[in-house]
Amino acid sequence: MSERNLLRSETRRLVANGAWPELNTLLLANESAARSHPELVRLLGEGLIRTGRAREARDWLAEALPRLQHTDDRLSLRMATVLSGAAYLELGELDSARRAFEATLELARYDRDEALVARAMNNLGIVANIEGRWDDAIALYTLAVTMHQRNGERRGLAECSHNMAITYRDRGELAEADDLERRSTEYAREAEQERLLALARLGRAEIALRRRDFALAAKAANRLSLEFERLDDRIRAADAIRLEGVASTGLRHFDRARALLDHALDISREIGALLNVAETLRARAELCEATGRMDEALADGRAALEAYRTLGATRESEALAAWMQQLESRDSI
Amino acid sequence: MTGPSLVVEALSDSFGTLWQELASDLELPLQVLEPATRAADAERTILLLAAGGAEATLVDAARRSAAQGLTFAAIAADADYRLAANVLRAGADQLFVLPRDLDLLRSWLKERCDALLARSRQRAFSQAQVSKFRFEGIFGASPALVHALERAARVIPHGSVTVLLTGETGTGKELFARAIHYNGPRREGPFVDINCAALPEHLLESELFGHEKGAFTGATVAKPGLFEVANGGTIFLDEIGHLALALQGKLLRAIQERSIRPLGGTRTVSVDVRIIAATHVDLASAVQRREFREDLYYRLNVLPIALPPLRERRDDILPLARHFLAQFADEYDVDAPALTPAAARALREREWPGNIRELRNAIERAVLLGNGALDESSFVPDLPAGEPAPVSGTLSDVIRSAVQRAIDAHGGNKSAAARRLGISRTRLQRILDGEQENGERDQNQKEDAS
Repeated sequence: MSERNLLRSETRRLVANGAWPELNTLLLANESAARSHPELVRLLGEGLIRTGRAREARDWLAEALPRLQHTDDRLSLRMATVLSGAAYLELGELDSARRAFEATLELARYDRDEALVARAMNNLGIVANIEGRWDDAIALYTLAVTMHQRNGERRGLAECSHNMAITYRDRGELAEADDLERRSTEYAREAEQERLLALARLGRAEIALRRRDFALAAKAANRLSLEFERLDDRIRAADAIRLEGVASTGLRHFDRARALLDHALDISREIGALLNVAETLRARAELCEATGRMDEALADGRAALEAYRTLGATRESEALAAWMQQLESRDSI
Repeated sequence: MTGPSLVVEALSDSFGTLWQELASDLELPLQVLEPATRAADAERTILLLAAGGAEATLVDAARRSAAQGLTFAAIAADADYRLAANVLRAGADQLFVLPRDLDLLRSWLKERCDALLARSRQRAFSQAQVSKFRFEGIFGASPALVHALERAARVIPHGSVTVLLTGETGTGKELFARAIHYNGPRREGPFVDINCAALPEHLLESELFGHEKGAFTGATVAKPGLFEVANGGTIFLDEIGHLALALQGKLLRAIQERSIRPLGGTRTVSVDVRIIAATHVDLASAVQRREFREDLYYRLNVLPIALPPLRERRDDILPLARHFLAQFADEYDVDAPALTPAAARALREREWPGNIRELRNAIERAVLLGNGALDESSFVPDLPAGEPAPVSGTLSDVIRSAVQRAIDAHGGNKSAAARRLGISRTRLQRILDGEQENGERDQNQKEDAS
């Protein structure tokens, strides 16, 4: 077997075993061989994304895509294009992400790859939602759901329904959001996707919280924190603990709320989940405000604001800044 | 269900162990056939006609396989453009010349494999939906519901008849629509649902009919419309009463002509779909108020099915409640709580403005929070009255929160919530969308006054 064939066969073995870090090491050590082969180009892109090396994935794919366009390997071209969009999205480069997903959509439609059409639509929906273009997001998710339905792709249906629920929730339409999360749980259960099932349930707990049904939100979040721990998803476990903390504040169980939020913050800081840190600090600021500890509320609020700004979360940072302004003016009276 | 397999019709002895390698890469069972042996289950076969050194036999073999309705690729060790043209004309999907095109062959095999798996997944999904949305699964024995079920049963076999479902929010219009689709002749086709109130007019138009690249600012890629995607299946137009007048005209044309034209396009696309429309508003009154086109109303109102509110089918409440109790106890892996006589009375006596959706949510909540038995207090959310919300915010947040509570109190019915709050539905939607406080106040006041 030639050296190149050996490399490909070893790469495929690593993919089959989910050994993405090892795949990265192998292909980066054989970079020029990997560069010359479309399948290896996309697999290295995927490996880098899956191991959190989005910046490297973006640069690798940006350099490789023009070459892929001149090969006959359409599958690799399509997959590399969607992966480059995923890398941009991960890095918060939304314009580039949108362009990559639109290019994916065109390629997928041309090649009649319906599964990828659905995936591209879903990803474009995610970009639209982050940019606050909620109507666009719903339109894109609706099409993605339809395509997934045509393909009988339950996992995709669960993901899209969950994403669409988030948009409806952001628009304040909680009944629709709850219906969609419920649908997402059904599809996730049918697809035997435990993590997606727990995510949709976490979405429903968040909706209960927004409806001020604190008892339900606290109970559901408590169950879910255990579930995410079982699934070894510490980021989501911390999020569920934060949610239970916020619900406990609503129930005026202040000591429990404090303990939960401190715990959620510890986990979030330990794993470096900045969005979780920001959300938890904001929740703790609100708890402090509810218990009359204004100095602590302002300190936590300022730390949360800084984290939101680092993340570029404009909507959240503006809302928090307005809240803190009210707090400061009230405090100074 | 067995998955796809790689079948090679060997027209010569070339290529040695290549087929085993390819099959093993894709984890497919391999079958190597003598020439002219009939393979083939088209739904599960990835067929290669392999003719290294026997290229002259490829065209006949391709014709035979094409006649069987199989998708296949031809393999040669050498081919000129004439052979390529003849093989493709005879029905081959691709011609690969090995070893030069080996990587392309691998990609083609992977795509074929994915396509066959997708087709079998799609079929399994449709079958699962058929059993999930059986009419027998719709609970209730009240005369109004039985009447609705009888009407649905009449329309099901006629896959092109338009259906209009009416009823309050939460009465199960979508469940009925799915049941009609998955029990009817279009069950193998897609079921596409769209809430006409969820999108502004220009987006809804593009969503329904699609658009070409450059049709409007922001149309950077061509997009298919839901009518096109629903071809062969059913399109469910929920909240049809909220469709803008201009769009009503386009929908009418789509129904009459069974074709649509994407925005910015010149081509006309034929569509073969059943339309199921649903509304909680009185369309006949909307016609009188000139808010809904009369011609469209008559087109949709071919076979109206009215779904009764829960308060008009009180005898169905307890069987439904018991069904939900068992369902959620199973889902949350807890013992099904007992329904005390007091709880049963409370369930029967409540008005349930949000209908079945509200009942289901109440039972789910009670199961999740309950401790053994359910009494009348189990179905009332224990919100701490008068306490500040943990998520505080601006005046807009407070207004939005009040609007949301009104919507929840009316079981998700925004029109009812708007009436209760004394504002227009449009304004209510704008508040939910986060309207600009100052800039739109004057306009809002005008709308509320109208």
